[in-house]
Amino acid sequence: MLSDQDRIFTNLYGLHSPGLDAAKKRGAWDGTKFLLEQGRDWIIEEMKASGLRGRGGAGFPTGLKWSFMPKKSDGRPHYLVVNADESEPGTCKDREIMRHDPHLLIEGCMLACFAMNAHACYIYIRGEYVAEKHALQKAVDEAYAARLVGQSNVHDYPFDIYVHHGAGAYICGEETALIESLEGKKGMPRLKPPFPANMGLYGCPTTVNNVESIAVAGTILRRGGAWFAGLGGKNNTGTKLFCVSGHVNKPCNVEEELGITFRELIDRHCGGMRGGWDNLLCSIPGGSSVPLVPAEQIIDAKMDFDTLRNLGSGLGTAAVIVLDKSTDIVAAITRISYFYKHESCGQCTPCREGTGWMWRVMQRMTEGRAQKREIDMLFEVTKQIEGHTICALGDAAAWPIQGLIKHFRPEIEKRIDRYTANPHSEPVPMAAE
Amino acid sequence: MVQINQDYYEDLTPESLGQLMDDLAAGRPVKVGSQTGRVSSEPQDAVNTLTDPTLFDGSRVGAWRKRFEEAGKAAEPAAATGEAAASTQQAAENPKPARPDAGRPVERTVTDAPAQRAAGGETPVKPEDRADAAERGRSTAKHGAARQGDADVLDSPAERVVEGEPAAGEQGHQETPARDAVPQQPEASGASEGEVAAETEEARIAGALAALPKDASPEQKADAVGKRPPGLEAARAGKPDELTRIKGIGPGNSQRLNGLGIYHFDQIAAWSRDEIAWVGTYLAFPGRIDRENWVGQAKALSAPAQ
Repeated sequence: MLSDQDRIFTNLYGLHSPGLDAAKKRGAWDGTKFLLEQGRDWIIEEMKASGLRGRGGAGFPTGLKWSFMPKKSDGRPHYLVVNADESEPGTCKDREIMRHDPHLLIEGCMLACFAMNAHACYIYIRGEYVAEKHALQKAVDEAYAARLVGQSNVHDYPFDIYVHHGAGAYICGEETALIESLEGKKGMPRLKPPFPANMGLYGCPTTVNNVESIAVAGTILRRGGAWFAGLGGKNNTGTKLFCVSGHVNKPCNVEEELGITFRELIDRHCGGMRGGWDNLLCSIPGGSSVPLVPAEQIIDAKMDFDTLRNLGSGLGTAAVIVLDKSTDIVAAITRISYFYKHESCGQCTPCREGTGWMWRVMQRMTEGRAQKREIDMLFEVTKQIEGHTICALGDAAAWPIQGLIKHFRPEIEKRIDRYTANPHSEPVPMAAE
Repeated sequence: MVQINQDYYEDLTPESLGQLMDDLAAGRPVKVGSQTGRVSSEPQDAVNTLTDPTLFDGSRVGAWRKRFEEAGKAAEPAAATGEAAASTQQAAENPKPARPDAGRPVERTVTDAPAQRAAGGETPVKPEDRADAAERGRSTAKHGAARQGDADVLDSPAERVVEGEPAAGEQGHQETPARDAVPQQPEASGASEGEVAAETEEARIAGALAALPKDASPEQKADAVGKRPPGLEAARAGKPDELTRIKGIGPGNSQRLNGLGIYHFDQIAAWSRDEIAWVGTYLAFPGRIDRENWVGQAKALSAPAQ
């Protein structure tokens, strides 16, 4: 188990005050000026050496992402945008950071902005997080009052930080849609290229990072990239906040090393599996958009980016959803389908039409009111949606269904058999929605 | 859990939800957050992490500085001997340790080349490398000062290219793990494999271009990112290929390519990575050659002709 000394988010559970004085005692804002004096290149090198991979789901190396920003400004300002639109079902890690350890985030914003020559940072908070917005805004005000940030601050680096409250759209967690929304437009993803590092917010070079990726920066720089790289495994370094939910005895958030096994994570921190390990049906290890992994494969798997990818799933945001054998797995995936149908922005046809179509078919499959050949057809349609849309929402909608068909096809077929074995009157046909 | 207006109510059971709704309807005060006594997201009654009191009483603040002090000590003797002008100068301009990671077991494959070591501020062993290092040291120091006001430091394109080379090499090095590390991306913000590669390339080019003055000619811009492909004086046998048969090359681009001495498909087919970057930048379509696969098309078109 990760030792307490190596944990970054020491106030994860909110047992202590989130205020500036308490945060300073926990180590935030400690020697920030000294770190800035080490220079821009040093910061980026340390971040690269730490091997930190973006915590928002894609797992793109953060140091590398920072280094994409133009070294010299061509006259346009640079921006940092922090993606606090944490809407992935099952994920609740950024929320705890904003509520309980906001100063780590604000300090990270300053360091990141310095590293990419940006003087303004926008934090885009999810619409549903009202209390979290107030908590973060309070911390920002404290930092301004203590002259830690602002136009003239104790760090001699003019830096402004703005908290922007979204309006509650899942798609605004996609980086280009977030930028659009921040600019005051409809939250619809943009085509890439041009990438935000060239042409982002207001047409200026922009980097969009997840809250957790930014909030760990201060501690990594203080303790060194080598320290962070020493935790976890190769290419999967450091610590990560896991959000375990579902059928475990004590669901919780916990910061752990990447590469902890699923079994250890549940046994040590979550009070074990409800009804014992034999009762585990499957797990969705990275938030609702990744394919599920059946019990026998997940149970001793390491929880890191590469292992889960090799299992045909992904670590995503490390929102581990645990499902036991009481779950109606087809209905569960149908519910996820409905979510994506609801959240599709409607820009690309495969996603706009496909998510609704998949949901309607999934609904019939839940009852068993379908043909077996439709299972293959459904699978094929998911393949037609995947990769044919501007953003990854189409993929996110397709993967859970692919995972279901791959691992639980007999379950779907059983339902179809059960339905056809009983006499039913034909349902009245209805026009598609 | 449910969200009602701005508040979240967690750890509900069917009964406690009914109770909650009744209380709200009747205007009775209700408890926000967990209904079972959890503070926030900790495991109920079983917190076994973050129990160390030294985390919270401030006694661990500043412990991290030790490694910088050690690094500083290690750097001092080197500066004191004054054997290389570079290190003294750097120490004078920047009293903080130039190599904060000195003495720490950092495993970095890329640091093991003389050029990289020089860039990292280490004194080269060979005397002929030292003169080189002196210049390096100056430019690094300049970078340190640059963040105060960037306007006074504008690198010449040549310098930028020199600096850009190792950076690009390193990106290539980093890119390899990243490329196969990025999984079938399950999140809305995910980037696909091709995008990552394209982003790396585009960012490299954009980085190199940003260092140039705004009025740089296309040749200057292109020279900063790649190598000019060799051209012909005139078309072989006076008969140029019809370059517009390549999808993506129109009459305009065809003329500009002819201006570069590119007349034949096999010339395009032989372009290297650097040359693709050069031509892409020259034509002001960075990345397009790859996207439309000009080289592949040219290969296909030149094959039957030979």
